[in-house]
Amino acid sequence: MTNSSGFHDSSSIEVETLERASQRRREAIGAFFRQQRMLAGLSIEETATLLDIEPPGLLNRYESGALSIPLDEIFALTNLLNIAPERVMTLIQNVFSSSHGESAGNI
Amino acid sequence: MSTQEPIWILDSDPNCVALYHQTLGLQYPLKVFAEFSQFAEAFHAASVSPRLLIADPENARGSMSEFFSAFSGTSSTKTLPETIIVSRLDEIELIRFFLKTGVRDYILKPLRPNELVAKAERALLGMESRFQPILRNEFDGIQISELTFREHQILTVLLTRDNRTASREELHDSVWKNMNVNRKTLDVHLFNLRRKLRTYGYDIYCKGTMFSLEKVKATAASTASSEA
Repeated sequence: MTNSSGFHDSSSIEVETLERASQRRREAIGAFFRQQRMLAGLSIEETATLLDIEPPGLLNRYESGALSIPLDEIFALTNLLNIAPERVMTLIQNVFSSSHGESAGNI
Repeated sequence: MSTQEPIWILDSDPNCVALYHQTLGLQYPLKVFAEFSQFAEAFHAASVSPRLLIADPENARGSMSEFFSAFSGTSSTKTLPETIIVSRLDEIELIRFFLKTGVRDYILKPLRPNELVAKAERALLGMESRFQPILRNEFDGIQISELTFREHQILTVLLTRDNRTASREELHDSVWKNMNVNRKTLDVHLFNLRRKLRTYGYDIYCKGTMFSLEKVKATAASTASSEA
């Protein structure tokens, strides 16, 4: 990425790297909950209804990684899908520690 | 917990009267008297003793002797109702005196709304003053330690229900009662409670809107390696 003078802007590269890292985190967490939902035998619509998520399309966006899942929804999903809380905590730790390592390498 | 019988208030301080209406008045009908004479007249005329009387003997226009004469003497056939004394007077002999007469409680002014409501509710329930543990954290021979107050309450609800199962609404209403809290607040506490229970081999399982306390089940999902 270059700035207006045509030179590579290190801050721009860093922002892009951080955004990519953030995207990967969202996708990893979203994919995990999608898999758990399917294992639990619940449809997107059923899950959205039980969690009072409106519109139901919002849940789709959480699972695809388009949007970050708010923490309270993470707790609600964990409880609804009978996922062990420690699995979710490990997932979040792993996701953040791997993306931190990636972005730190570019500082 | 609501009752159709009014709570009687004997207090002439308009600020306190406003507070009674803003707190207790939301759940119970109130009958407010500013003077002893009005109160005594109404008390003698009433066919039944009020379930609860909240009185500031010093503040209400009248005298202490008038207050007690309403409940003593051959003219009175009624006993002192459940009574909470409210007063600015922080004198130990006075507090001892009222407690010896059998009043339920003595609350110092300025009144704290939560304290007032909680103590009035207890008085209406007619609960004994001796300590009674009402939160449970012991079951099946194990004692779950380090629970927060809300986690304790949630666990107690589950332990006291048939099959240790309760609905989301039951859990929410039992713990937060009339408080307006975010629906997801329950999930936060459940998450943390589940974490602690699992260290003892128990978990709270969800099926739709029902939650059930059970031993940890080994499932295919719990062994799948799908974390990122």
